[in-house]
Amino acid sequence: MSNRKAEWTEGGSDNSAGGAGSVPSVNTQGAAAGHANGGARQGSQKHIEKVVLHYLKRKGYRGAENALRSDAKLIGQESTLGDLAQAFPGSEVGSDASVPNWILFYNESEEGNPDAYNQSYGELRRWIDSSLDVYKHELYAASYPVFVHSYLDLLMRGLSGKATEFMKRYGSDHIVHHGKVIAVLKTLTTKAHVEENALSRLYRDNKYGIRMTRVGFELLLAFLQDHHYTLLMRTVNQHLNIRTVDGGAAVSSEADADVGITGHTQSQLDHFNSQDIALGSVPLDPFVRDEVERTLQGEAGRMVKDATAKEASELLDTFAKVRQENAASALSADDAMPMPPPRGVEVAQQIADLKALRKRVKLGPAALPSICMYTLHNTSNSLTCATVSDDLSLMAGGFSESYVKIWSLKNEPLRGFVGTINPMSINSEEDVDSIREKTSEPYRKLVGHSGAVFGLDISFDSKYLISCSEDKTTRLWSLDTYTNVVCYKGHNYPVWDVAFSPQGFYFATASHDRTARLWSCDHVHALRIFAGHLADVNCVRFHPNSKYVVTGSCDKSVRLWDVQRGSCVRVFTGHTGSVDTVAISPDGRIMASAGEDQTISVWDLGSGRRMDTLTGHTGPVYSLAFSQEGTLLLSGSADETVRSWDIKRSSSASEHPIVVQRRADQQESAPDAAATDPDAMDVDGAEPNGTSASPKQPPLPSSAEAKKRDAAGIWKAKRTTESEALLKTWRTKSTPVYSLMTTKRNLAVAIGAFTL
Amino acid sequence: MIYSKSTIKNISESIGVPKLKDGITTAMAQDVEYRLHEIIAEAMKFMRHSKRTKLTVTDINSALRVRNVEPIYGFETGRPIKFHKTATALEEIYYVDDEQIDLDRLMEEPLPNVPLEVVYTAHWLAIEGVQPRIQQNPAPIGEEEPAAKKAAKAPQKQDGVETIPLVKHVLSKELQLYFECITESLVSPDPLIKSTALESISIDAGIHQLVTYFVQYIAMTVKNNLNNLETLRTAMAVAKALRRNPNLFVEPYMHQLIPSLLTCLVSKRLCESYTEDHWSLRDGAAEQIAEICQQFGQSYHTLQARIARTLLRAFLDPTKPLTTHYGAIVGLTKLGLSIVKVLVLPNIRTYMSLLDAEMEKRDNHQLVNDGTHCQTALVNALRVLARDSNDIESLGAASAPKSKLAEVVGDTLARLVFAEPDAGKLAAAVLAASKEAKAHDSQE
Repeated sequence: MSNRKAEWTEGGSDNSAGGAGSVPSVNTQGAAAGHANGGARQGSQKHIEKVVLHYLKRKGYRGAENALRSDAKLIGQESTLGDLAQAFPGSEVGSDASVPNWILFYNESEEGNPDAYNQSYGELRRWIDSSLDVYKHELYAASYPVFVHSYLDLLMRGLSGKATEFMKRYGSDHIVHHGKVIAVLKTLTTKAHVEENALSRLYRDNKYGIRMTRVGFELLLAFLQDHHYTLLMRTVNQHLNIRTVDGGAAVSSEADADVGITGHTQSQLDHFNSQDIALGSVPLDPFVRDEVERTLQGEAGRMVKDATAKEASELLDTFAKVRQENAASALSADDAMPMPPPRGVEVAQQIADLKALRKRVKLGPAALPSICMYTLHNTSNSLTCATVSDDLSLMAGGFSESYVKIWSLKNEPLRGFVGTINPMSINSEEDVDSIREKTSEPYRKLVGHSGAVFGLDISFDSKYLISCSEDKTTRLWSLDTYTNVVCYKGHNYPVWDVAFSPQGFYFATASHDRTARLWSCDHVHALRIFAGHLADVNCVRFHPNSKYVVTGSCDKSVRLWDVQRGSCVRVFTGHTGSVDTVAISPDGRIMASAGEDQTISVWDLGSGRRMDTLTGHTGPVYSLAFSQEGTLLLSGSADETVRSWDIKRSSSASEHPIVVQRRADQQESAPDAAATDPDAMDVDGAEPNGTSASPKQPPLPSSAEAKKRDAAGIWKAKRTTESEALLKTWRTKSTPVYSLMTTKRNLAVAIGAFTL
Repeated sequence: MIYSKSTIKNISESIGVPKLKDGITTAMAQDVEYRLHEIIAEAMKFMRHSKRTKLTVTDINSALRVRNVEPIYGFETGRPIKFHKTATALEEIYYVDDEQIDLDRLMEEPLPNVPLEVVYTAHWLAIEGVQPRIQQNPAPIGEEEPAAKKAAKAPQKQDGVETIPLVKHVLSKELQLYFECITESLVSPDPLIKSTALESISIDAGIHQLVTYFVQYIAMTVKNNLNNLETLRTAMAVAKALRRNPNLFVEPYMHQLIPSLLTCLVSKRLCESYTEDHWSLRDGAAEQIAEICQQFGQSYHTLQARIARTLLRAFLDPTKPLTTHYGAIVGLTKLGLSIVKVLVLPNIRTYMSLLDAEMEKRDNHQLVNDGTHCQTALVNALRVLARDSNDIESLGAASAPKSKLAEVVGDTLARLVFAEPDAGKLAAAVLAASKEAKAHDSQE
């Protein structure tokens, strides 16, 4: 009762101020409100009086009711209204709908009629069917949320039978595009379910984004208004977030960024995706740099001029060139992620990378990669994940029987150190050898988890392996001793994925508990918790500069998180199914995501915009990998194929990230602000010489134009099953491809389990 | 509706709650169905993260555990569950077979085998973007597959007669190229190329599909090149290399290989002019046949007997030329001691008389040459007898009963034997063997 009072006072002030023409508290975009208001104003005086009378009666304001009745000569209406109110106990609108809304969209004939939704929605469908072809698509798209909310409203009013009938009659209309949601909705049969179910809550608590042309939108409103379908009108007002687009017919599908439920309004999304991010590469530690140069110079300057000396001097040149190239895009030293002091392995790693760089095969649409396929046999469906180390010396597989198995790809025995090592007693290779285990098997089992192992990663130096499991823990294993070193606890639900940062030391986990977390190897508790996804976080990957992590989730979105601030800086929406895998190009500009919906989306990290949608797979996509130049994308799928996709073709705009431009502009306008503002710390220096690095570029297409193009592309892609960007498909022999990666030399490695 | 009201009623009665109200059963049915869907949706996540496309009992249990519900024990199996269909009057019902297990018998049964270790294999899925046509990769779509499938269809019944269609043997392009390259190299005049090709055959692991082609190749080469000694030698070398290759399973092809080998052993003519050294070719062929007999004698008991019979027939046929006789003698010799003892020794005398007559009759250089080879071969055959009988005392040349030996093997051969440096031992062995044979005969 007190709730109603509050409504009344709040609504009352509105009512007195604006009467029937007051502004609905839950806004559609301007056009919607305006049009609705106009329509209501045209309503007859009598109608308004009737509504007010009904309202007063319901609230129990007898005096006011009688006064109005005698004034407006409305005697005789009492019984009908009273009956209606009685017949419809659940007819009050949702708690978040305000009184003006209720009054505005009040239709006496519908209010008491349990078939009202059925009838009016049926009319709407018929009307859409007979409307012009140009607008059909968008009207269909708009009818979907109306359908969902009509169904949920029916359930909320306890009219299960009517709801089932409604679903039976109209549900098939939406199965093609929203089959999964329809299947879930069908299972809801009572009010309690609607209140409890995650999906229905999602729909009821969030607005459903829709994009329409102005004409289409006005047609829809006019139709609803003319026929007094106020129930539907109310749904449109309350649950839809319609964006009108000028110009020709815009097509609205869930694949567009602002369509569907994102948990954010469009303005929020825009705000999110306009945050500055620094995508530059990590600066080289001065110690490592000097050490690499010294080592190479030492080799190059040896007295005996042999092949190694020559190679070393060439490597030195390459090193200088690479450093010069990287200097342009590198982050400043204080901006990068804090790392422990180098241990020496980084130097060897750097030299190995340089050698690999010299041997790198240039890949592109014309030069496709060589793919080495590792097939695992006798897994009997128990393999859940697999990976290989960067230097291709080790392969690891996680199994549902709670263990991790490591194989040496060089077929050398894996012999761990035993006991404690006294450095004093070690003088030669033999001494090192003597403290290793005496085993000759080229594989090892790591036992420790107590649930299926869902994710694995090997650190860049092949010294550590990290695994996550159904048992809610993440474990760090040393590859020197083949023992469990640390067990990280923190998640309260199964951990789906884990990834090492490219520089080691940090790792990130993704869990069923809807969070991703950042950890460092030396802390048993998480350093950051990334919360914001609306459902399970399925996968996590680090940005090459370790400053960001990308997560893919069951809520069909991909998010980019700032590691240092722990906040979300980009939301990528548009998938129509859960996102199971993500990959970031080695230059850090482009991201690809894929999953259950069998399509791959390519995103520009800078602008947060989708660059391309790649279709062609006929099963869930398990793994993605970019070539080192970022020109090719490889994807592995449950459909037993590896496919390669052309990336740069569609991404001319992304070569110069927008963020750099904007940053440069800001620096020009406020050179001091950036330096003094501590919040802007981690974006400073993203482009130290941004203006010179990015000379005049062709103006980017406006976002509306780009979206239109995207949308058109998607519809075309849906019709033709394979996108043009598909370069080649390699089939395997009944081996779903679990994991894919490219080495520094651009050799692609695929792992799969042979399944019968 | 998966669960009807009556199902709920039945269940409630079975657990001792009789007479549920109608409203309650309806609500229960709806709720149970909803919970089921919820659990299945949760279990699907586990299925996806296990990279499977089929839901298992384990997934359901994981989902229950995540929801803090006690898992249902006793239904987990390693194998995928098979549903069987049965039709009742009203609808079709799917059920899982639930066999009764006799615990006593189960206890007595030996433990099942340890499951196989997970192992990995590596191959090239693509080389610079091109998928190599190797065994590990599937055949390209729309090329060989349809034909192969058509051929592999189930046996078709026609007029009651069951015909099994031929299975088309698909040879990848790589293997075809390899075969062509090898056969070309084999006719190359450069000995290095030839030996490399032979070595490749003898060690390459991936050419199993080509074995039948190589056997065919050998047969055709032998058939068409009976006058070309060099080619025949190559063919023999290929046969040898194939057998040497540890990765190949040549047993099924032996019956095709042996005729070619026998041809090279006992053929009348194997070269352009008789001065060429076709003798060594025959020796090599004999060697190979003996090896085959040894290798596969276990699995094919009649193999050695059949070969020995063939050779003996050639040996004892006076109409056959001496070259054939030579081959037969060598072949029999290589088959071992017992063959020589049983088949050669008793016949030497007869044969020698024929041979002597032959050689005296015509004064032909070639004939004499051939005859000499036959004699040498016979001496070698006798030597086999001596080789395995070290315990026999060597008879002094003087004391040796030359006449006795001549009784067994004929004068000419006895003379030849005594020309040998180890004549004493030889003679003793031959005599011992013949005595043994005679004793054996008389016993019977």
